[in-house]
This record gives sequence, structure tokens and C-alpha cells, in this order.
Amino acid sequence: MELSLKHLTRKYGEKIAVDDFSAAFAPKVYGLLGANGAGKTTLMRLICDILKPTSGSITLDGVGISSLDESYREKLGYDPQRFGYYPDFTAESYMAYIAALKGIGGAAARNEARWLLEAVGLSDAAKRKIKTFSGGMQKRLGIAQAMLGDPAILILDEPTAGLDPKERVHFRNLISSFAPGKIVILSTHIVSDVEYIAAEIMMMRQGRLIRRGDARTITGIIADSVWEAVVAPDVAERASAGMTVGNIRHEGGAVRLRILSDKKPLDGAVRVEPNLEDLYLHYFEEAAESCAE
Amino acid sequence: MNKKQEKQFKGQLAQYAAPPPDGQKKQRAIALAQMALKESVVAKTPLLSLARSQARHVSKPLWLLQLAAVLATWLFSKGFADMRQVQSFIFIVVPILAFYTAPEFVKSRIYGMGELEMACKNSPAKIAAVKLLLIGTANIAAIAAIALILRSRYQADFATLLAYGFMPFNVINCATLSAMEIFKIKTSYALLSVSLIASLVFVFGSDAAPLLQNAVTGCSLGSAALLAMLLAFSIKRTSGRRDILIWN
Repeated sequence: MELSLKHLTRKYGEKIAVDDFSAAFAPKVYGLLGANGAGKTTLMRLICDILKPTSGSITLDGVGISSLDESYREKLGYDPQRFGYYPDFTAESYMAYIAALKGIGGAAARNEARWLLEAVGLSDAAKRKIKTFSGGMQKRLGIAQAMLGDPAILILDEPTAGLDPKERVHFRNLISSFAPGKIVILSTHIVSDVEYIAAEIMMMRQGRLIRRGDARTITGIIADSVWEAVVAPDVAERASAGMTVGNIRHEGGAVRLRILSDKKPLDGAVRVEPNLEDLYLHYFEEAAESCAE
Repeated sequence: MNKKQEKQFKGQLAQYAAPPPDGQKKQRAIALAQMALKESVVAKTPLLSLARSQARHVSKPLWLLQLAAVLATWLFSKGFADMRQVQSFIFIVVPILAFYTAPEFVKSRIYGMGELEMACKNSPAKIAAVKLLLIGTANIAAIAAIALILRSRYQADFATLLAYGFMPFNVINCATLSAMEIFKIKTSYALLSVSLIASLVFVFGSDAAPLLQNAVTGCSLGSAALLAMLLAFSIKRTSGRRDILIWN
């Protein structure tokens, strides 16, 4: 099974949300990483055939997804960023409704829904109205409905937003056990989500795919640019104003800084192994600054 | 297989010691079984099963209001002196069943379910058509029941009574769907309020019903045509997937 995106572009008027995006997806877990507004959600909607591309094509095993129509969507599980539900729905009736839309009926739907609610830790709340759920519970329900019907392609848009650390770990384990033999694409701007479970990471900026590969490969580009230094608080203050500082940690009277710099930034700074967070900072510093503004 | 046969079968199986399973072969068998299962799934959901599943998820108030309108007709449509009063009564009772129709039809857009529904196997247009069939059938059945009750009490022409019933029904739905499109209504309360106002206009304007007496056929046909156009537009919008184009 291969899901292929060729020169995919999606415009909203003059705005280009996805810009000439080409990639092929084989069965494994992909992490789509990008700042807010990078075009991740639009890309997800295009893959789900909810939006039509302005140009370019999406094919599954060589056949256009729009022409595959129902037989494509039958293979699809989607957890959108915004969780919508009808006010009278309980978790159980919500699962039954989605199962019906997916064409799964009867006892199979009930059994699978029960199993999935248990898998996401909602079996005790199955008969509760969704409107009484916390954000984390709603998110877990969103993940459960996406997995209904054992889809071959699972698209998760910001699946861990609003989950606490324990729920995050649980989510990662759930996806890892679900993923074998399937294409799982999860978009996020939370680096640790993809660091643990994604076999391949794709970085998006301004609608374009800027890097892809496993964590070690894609961080190679900044292999010589990540430093750590333990300095006095006043030096740390000056450094964080003028440099790209990834992390600041107070250690007694001193401060440990993690700095991104092409050359040695401070006396005593030592080069360290880069991680995805450093790479994210390297690429999205401008976006982060504009968000902060 | 009955209990006896099951026991016999298990006994026969127990005569042979099964060798420990080869892990790889076991995985392969599981994978092949999964593939066979997937291939055996019927690609198209039968219309009847889709209609049954959708009917379960139509809001209860909609069904209750159909019943309430028929029940109200049964209880309160006694002692009218002439057709004018019958007509006025229809203009009061039909808005009860029409009130929840348009909001129910477009609720996926209001509650943000559209995006998810579009990614599911059964297309939004198919779902909308099934919903329309279900809700429309319920509405027509309720209006027909109201017309039958009134016909049995006042010996009026059934077709004319139906036409009196469809006019407020169509107009209220037209008003609600148009308001949704024109004012970009996005909350359930706003939509229900529009529907309520449209219904109340008919309830309080029921005295003016005789004005439409001569033009009732034309008005009914015109309003039905307008409603059909609006519904087609609404379905087209849903299947055209323009309603969720949100720049993230």
C-alpha cells in the first residue's frame, strides 16, 4: 500500500496553504511537524479528500483517491483537530453513530466500540454525555472513533493537544500497537509526540515539506550547532536576549543554557547531540517569534 | 451447532495433540485472515441499513414534535364553524412540526461534525439524502395525518388540506435555510431562534390565512419549489465541501 502525494498545492484565494508538497507514504508512523499555520491541517484535509487540491494529485496504489471515493474512505480513520459532537450524544452513541457512517453495523460495531473505549480509558464513561467530558476525554474519544473499523490509513490532527503526560504515554503506546501494517500520519507541533513514536518525521513550513527522515537523520543538519554552557545569571540574561536559546535551567547559583549557534557562543560552551526540539527551534524560530508577538 | 455436537467436536479435536504454533506462520495466518475479512466486507452500505442507522440518530425532539402536532390536531380541532377557522388552525399546528426540521437537517454544520462526517465511508451527500428522505417522510406523514383528521371532521377536500399544510411548512424551512446561508448562522440557538420566529409568524398570523385561500395552490407549489431549491443548494454545499474551508 502506498499513498502518494504529487505536487500538491492548495490555495485559499491568494494564500497558499500547501505548496507543491510531494511525498510517498508506506505503512509506518509519520510525524508531521510544523508551527501553527504551516499548512498541516490543510494537508490532512486534502489527504482525507475533504478538500480538493488546487493542483497536484493524491493516489492510493496509483489510483486517484477521489475516484476511489467510498472504497478510499473505507480505509480511512480521521481525528480532526476540532472535536465536534451532537449535544445529546454519549460516548457510546457517538461511537455507534460514527460506526454507522463508516458502514459498520450491528454487533461488530458494538464490540469494536466497547473495545476501543476501553483502550482509550473511557469504558467507565461510555454512557455519559460528551458535553460533560473534559478536553482530554474528548480528545481520547476522537482517537477512538478514528480507529473504528481498523482503518488502513489513520490521520490524526493534533491528537495529543489537551492530553496530560500520562494520557500522552498511553496514546503513544496505543498508536504503536495499532500501527503495524498501516499508514499513520499524525500532525503536531509538540516535538516529544513524534520523537517517540514516528518512524519518519516530516517538517513543514509555509506549506512546504522542508525535511523528512528519521530523527537522527534530520537532526544531522544541525549536528555542529547545538551547545550547552553553564554561566552566571547575568551572562545567561544577555545570552538569551541575543542568541537562539533552546533551554534555560537554573542549577544552584548558575544557569545551564542550551544554545543554537554555528560557532562557539560562549566561553566554556560544549557541543552536544542535537535533538528534534533543537531542529524545530532552528526551523521555526521565526514562526515562534511571530506567534509570541 | 448444538451442545451435543459441540462436545463431540471438541472431543474429536482433543484426540490430537497440536504442535506448538510457529510464530511467523501464526502472524501470517492472522494477516491473511485480516485480508480475507477486509475483502469480504461489502463495499456499499445498503440503503436500508443506512436509513435505519440514520433514523436512530435523528434528534428525538423532531419525532416528538411530529407526534405533538398530530395529537394537537386530534385534541383541539373540534367545533370550527367554517373552512377559514380550519385553515387558521393548520397555520398554527403545522409550524409545530416544521420548527425542528431545518435545524435537524443542517445540524452537522452547526455542531462541527461536518469535517468528520466527510471523511467517513458514506459520503455527506448520501447521508444528507437519507436524512432528507427520513425527515421528509416523517413530515409528510404528519401533515397527511393532520389533513386526514380534519377531513374526517369537516368533509373538506384532502388535497386542499394538504396544500394548506405544506405552505407554512415549506415557508418556515425556506426562511430558516435562507437565514442560515445569508447570515452565516453557526450556532444551534441562533438557528432554532430563526425557525421559532418563522413558526411564530405563522402562528400569530393565522388570522390572515384566508387571504391566501384563493392562492393556496400557487403558494404551496411556489414554496415547495423554493424549498426544493434551497435543499438542493444545501446538499450541494455539503458535497461541495465548501463549508469547512477554514484557514488554520
